Amino acid sequence: MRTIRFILAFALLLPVIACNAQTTRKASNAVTSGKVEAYYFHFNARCMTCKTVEAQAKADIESLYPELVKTGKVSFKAVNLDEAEGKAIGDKLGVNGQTLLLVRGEQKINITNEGFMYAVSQPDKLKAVIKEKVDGLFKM
Amino acid sequence: MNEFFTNILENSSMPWLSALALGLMTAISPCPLATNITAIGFISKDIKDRNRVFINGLLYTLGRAITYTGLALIIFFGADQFKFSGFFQRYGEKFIGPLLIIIGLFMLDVIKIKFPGMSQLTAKMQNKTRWGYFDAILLGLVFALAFCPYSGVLYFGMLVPMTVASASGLYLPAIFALATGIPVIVFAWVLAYAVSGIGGVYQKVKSFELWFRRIIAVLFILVGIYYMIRVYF
Repeated sequence: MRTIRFILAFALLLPVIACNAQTTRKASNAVTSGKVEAYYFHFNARCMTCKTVEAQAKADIESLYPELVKTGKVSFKAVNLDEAEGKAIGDKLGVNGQTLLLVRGEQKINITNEGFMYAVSQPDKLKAVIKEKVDGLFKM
Repeated sequence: MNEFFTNILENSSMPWLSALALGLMTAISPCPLATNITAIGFISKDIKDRNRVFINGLLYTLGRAITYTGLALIIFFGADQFKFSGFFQRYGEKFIGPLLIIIGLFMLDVIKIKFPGMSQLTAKMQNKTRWGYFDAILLGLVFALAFCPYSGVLYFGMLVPMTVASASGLYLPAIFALATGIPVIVFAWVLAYAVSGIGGVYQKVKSFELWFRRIIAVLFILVGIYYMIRVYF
């Protein structure tokens, strides 16, 4: 039992050690563009809700803006932060964790909370939020 | 059920109620269920004593509360919230799998390591009953760090902003922790109650507790393997 106690205590200290060992990354400038880009950032391990958030957001973008999606003025991209390419995009946009993000030029709107609150049980609400935010970004 | 809690979140003007709803949403989501099952097993290990199981459950919840409050305090005092939450979302699940397997193997006595110079100190610890209680707190402290993607968003995305908005919100992680611990406390206690109900049969089978602990050890290993497969394969 005492060995288990030591293992648990060590596990508790691990994040402190690792966090201090991490180098500070400077947030670089955001992607500059006139179009609206929706990003869903995730890691390798994904829960059911996470997958639903991605699928729902993608479907909403495509059904709300079919023409703009075709012309490339609105896009949706799922990004894996556990892959080098995904990490680079995350660094560029200042994203470290699971995030649903709308980007237009320097403007960024984080709708992760809304995604996780509504995607499973009230998808219509998520759709309304996406529409409101994307329309708002185009007006800026 | 989730819709019910979402409605509470949207309509509540009372932060404590929102924290409670967030905690219950975390507790009932499939994601942290595996660690909850393991925790139920661990805190029921003193199954012959119902009160002890209940106290273990409360102490496990206290451990969770310390972690959740500690993390919120670190952010409150200026740590970069996004970097911090990213770190725990990235590594939380990755460390819990191997950890559970190692603990399980130690519980089964498959691995035995003697730390040099530690034996006298730990022998003293072992002799004191209060160190038995300390295990439950330690488990709560560690398990609360194992954020899965969903609970990570609920905690870092919703609870922490409410908590760090002002110093008066620093009690909210404790309510969140209590809500995440309630199902564990209830199930462990029901389990202990049911087993003690068997009464005579249980008393006669003296090796029952030993076997129960072995089952818990196997449970740790299985849940650990589940997390390893989920994260690494």
